[in-house]
Amino acid sequence: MTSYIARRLLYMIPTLIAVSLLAFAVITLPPGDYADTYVLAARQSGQVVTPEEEARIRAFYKLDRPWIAQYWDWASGIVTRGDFGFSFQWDLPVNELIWPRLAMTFVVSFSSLLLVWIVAIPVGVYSAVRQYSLGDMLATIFGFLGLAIPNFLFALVLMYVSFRYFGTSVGGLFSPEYVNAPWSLAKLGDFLGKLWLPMVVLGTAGTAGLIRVVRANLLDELKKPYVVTARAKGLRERDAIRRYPLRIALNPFVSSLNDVFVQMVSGATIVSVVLSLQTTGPLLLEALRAEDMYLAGSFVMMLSVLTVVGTLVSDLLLAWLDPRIRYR
Amino acid sequence: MAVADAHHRAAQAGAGDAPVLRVDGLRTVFHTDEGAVEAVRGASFEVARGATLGIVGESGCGKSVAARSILQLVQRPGRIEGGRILLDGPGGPVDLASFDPYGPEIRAVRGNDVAMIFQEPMASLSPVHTIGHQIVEAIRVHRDVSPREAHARAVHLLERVRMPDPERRMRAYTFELSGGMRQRAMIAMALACDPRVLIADEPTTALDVTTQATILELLRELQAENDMALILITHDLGVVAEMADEVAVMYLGRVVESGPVEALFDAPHHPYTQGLLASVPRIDPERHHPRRPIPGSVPRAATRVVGCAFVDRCAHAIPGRCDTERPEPHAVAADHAVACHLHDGEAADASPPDVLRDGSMGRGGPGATASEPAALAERSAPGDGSPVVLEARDVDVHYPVFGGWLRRQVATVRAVEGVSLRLRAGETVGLVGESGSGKTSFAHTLVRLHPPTRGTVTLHRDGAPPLDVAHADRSAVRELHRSVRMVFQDPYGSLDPRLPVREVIGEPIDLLTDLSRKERDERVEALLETVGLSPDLATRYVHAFSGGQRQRIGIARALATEPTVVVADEPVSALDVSVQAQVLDLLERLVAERGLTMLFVSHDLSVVSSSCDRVVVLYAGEIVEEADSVQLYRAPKHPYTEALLAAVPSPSPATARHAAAPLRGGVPDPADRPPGCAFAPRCRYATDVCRAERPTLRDVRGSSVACHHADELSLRGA
Repeated sequence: MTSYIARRLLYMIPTLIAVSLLAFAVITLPPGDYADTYVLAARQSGQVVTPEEEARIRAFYKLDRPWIAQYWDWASGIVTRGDFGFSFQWDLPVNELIWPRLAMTFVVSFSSLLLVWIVAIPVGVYSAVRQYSLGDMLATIFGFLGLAIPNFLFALVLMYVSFRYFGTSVGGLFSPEYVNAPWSLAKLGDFLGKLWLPMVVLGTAGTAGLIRVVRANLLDELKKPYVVTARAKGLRERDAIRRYPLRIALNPFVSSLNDVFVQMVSGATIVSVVLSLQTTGPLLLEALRAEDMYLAGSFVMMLSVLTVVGTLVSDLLLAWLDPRIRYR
Repeated sequence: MAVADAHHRAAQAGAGDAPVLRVDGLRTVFHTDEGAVEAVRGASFEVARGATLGIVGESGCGKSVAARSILQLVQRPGRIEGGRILLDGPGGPVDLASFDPYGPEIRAVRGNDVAMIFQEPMASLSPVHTIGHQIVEAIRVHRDVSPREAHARAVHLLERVRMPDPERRMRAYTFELSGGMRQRAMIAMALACDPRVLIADEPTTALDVTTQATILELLRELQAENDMALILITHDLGVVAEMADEVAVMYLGRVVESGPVEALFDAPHHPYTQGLLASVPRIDPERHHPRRPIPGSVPRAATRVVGCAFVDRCAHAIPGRCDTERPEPHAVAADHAVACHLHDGEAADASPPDVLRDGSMGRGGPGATASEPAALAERSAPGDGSPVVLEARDVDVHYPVFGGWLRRQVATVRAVEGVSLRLRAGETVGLVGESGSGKTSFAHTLVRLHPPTRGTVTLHRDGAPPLDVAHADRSAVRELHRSVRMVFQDPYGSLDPRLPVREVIGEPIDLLTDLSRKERDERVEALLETVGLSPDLATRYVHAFSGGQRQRIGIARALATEPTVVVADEPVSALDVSVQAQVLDLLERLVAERGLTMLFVSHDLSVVSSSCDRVVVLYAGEIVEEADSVQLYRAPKHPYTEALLAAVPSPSPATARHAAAPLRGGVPDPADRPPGCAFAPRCRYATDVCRAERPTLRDVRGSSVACHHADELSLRGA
């Protein structure tokens, strides 16, 4: 097992190098660079920018060097100093921008994920064990609705309802007075009061999907002979299902966990924009539009690391759950 | 002697003991969308302390449902709707049928007083829990013991089922065990709480004959030690003959004949019982006894029956009586009852029609005419004069095993080692060995499903140069696949469920020949007729067919390109014995009519005995014996052949109980075979020379044998 993990970790190195090269190349690929964006913005506000000035800006940001040299600066900075470069647009180191956002994203995504699991797994089990019962039908209807309604629309509707009927503004993750305040009990309370909306919005589709997955997997497993064996031992129905078919039915669910990590960071961009959440999605979108290459590149890099790590974690979890994989 | 003990006790028990379990008029009904399906239609049977009841019948007769009903394990939408299931208890008998299927009363019985083992130990044990975990759980459900005590008891149980290295196997998962070891683990689990009744539902059907013999022996011994009643459900009367004291024959949800095992085998009364007896594969290389399979198949469980359910397949049906009036059980002797109009009322004293001798079983149906096998017997065996069609020379098949840090090759599985085989035009050659003997690897090499590691496979053709199978180019591969076709073991997995039968059979024609669409469809219809299916069925999908019918479709597909050689890999081992007989007859007829050359791969020597001209026995990837059929069966020269023959259950209770000690252990790990003779560790004749020196094939009195002692040994044939 240790050798397996070691081998997987080794494989990660070339993968990440390739991904970072690719990401950087793609970001620098469109015509123009941040200097163009800057000059354009300056001209629009009525300033005059001479070609010399433009060249100086370009030189200042080292945009005049070949992209491979720029890549090398950026990549070696990450590896040696943990420095992800500088955001032109925000005039701040990428590190200062990205980590608070990532932390916030993590909290929002993880809490909505928790909601998904807590609701979806029991409902899915109920749906499978009582197939075609009233409860199963209701869960199915909820499932299809949850899958069919676009998240951003759902977010808008909830915002409208809570503003129109409860008079509260639910956008963002903090009320204006707390945004720049240091953490306190009151700020935490405010945060939790705001958190439920993104949790529900982001969780609904996931819950609906997972109910279907758990139900379908468990229905397959319930027909297996080992369930009869478990009953023939004299186990209670509840124990027989929990210990055997449910345990195995969760395998496909675990193997899809790698996706979850990425979804946590990138999946909720539109909802975050709509709800003006201070998460990573909107920041990434903005960075790509402004050709803020180090910021964008760092984001893509983070996503790749999370994908690779997520895959490893889900594979390890799967091996832990299922000896058939462990011994392969 | 354990066997004799059990037998003796059973005889005593029959004399007056109250049965430990009595099932009376059991009705189990499945409420489906298409209406109520009565799977068990009023079945009654009983079993005494320490005795064995065999419940026999083909698939679809309701045996398994009846067995599961005893513990109320029938799944929704199934329900017990009538009858009583009386389990003897300290305070008098209790009726299990009256308990709530999810209630605590029935749970207290399950696994405690009455335990069950199932057909597929792989599927019936959890794939993600160690067997130790599962046995410990079975103990702790009913016994208030600490985990440590439960563990100790589980190890003890594994010892009792003779699991090698029990302490280590506690931590093993099912996929790390062989089929026989899995079934031992399953039995250990069932014995966790010393049940008074053990229900075994086809416990050996998924196993090799050699493993079957050891498991049956184990069950007999455990039963004698525990004074446990055993209900053994099987489709194989050979197994019943070896095991049962009493027999109940079930047909379409009802017991049609029941009685002591000797009575049932000596004087079977019901035409169905007679048919089942006639279907048991017997070792008959001389082809003296034509098989007489029961024509047709069991009606669907949803069928409404007015008279006798067997009437459509019965040669003795009385028109106007059997199809209108349901026969009730009548005693024809002490403890021997039959539900058949031939044996009630005025006809009751008439002696049973003896189908085993007069050959009057069946009235037509696919491959059922008794004259066919007789005609086969006269077929002159192709001698050495016939040209060689397919030839394998010194074939090795090795698989690399990868492991370690860098996934380097760490070992080699030697599946096939130096096998040479010639198939002559028109002959049928049997290739026999246990699981792991390399027979399937070799068969696959012949049809180029994978290449030989060393050696050559050559296809000889009329008027064309010989074709090197391993190195053939594209067009030559087409030619090969046209000339050499395969029939596969699993009739469920080997046919595409998304294609209608016309496409399933027609696909090789499309791929490998230049026939037009119309010619192709005509050929498909002709093929369906050849294999005994109606051409109207060409548009149906595979799921509409029974196992036997599917295998007929598989055979039709193999014949579609008019091949010269057919490689049949265990073509009947997934089928009931009655259906086996039908399919074997069909194969024999096709070989004779079409002059086919056939390689018949099987783990069971009895199955191939009357089909083959020559038999090759494979062990650990090497040929250990090759001889003409009669010679091999009557005078085996290799101890392994003798052991395989001894493992075949004999369809006669008198001879079955004196069977030799079964072959223990398994085929050696093909990645780590012992030096010397690979069979030596299991061989009762092995000496030092066997353990040191590897024997080579040589001629011994007309057989080709690889055994150091072939000259001195005089082994027991069938």
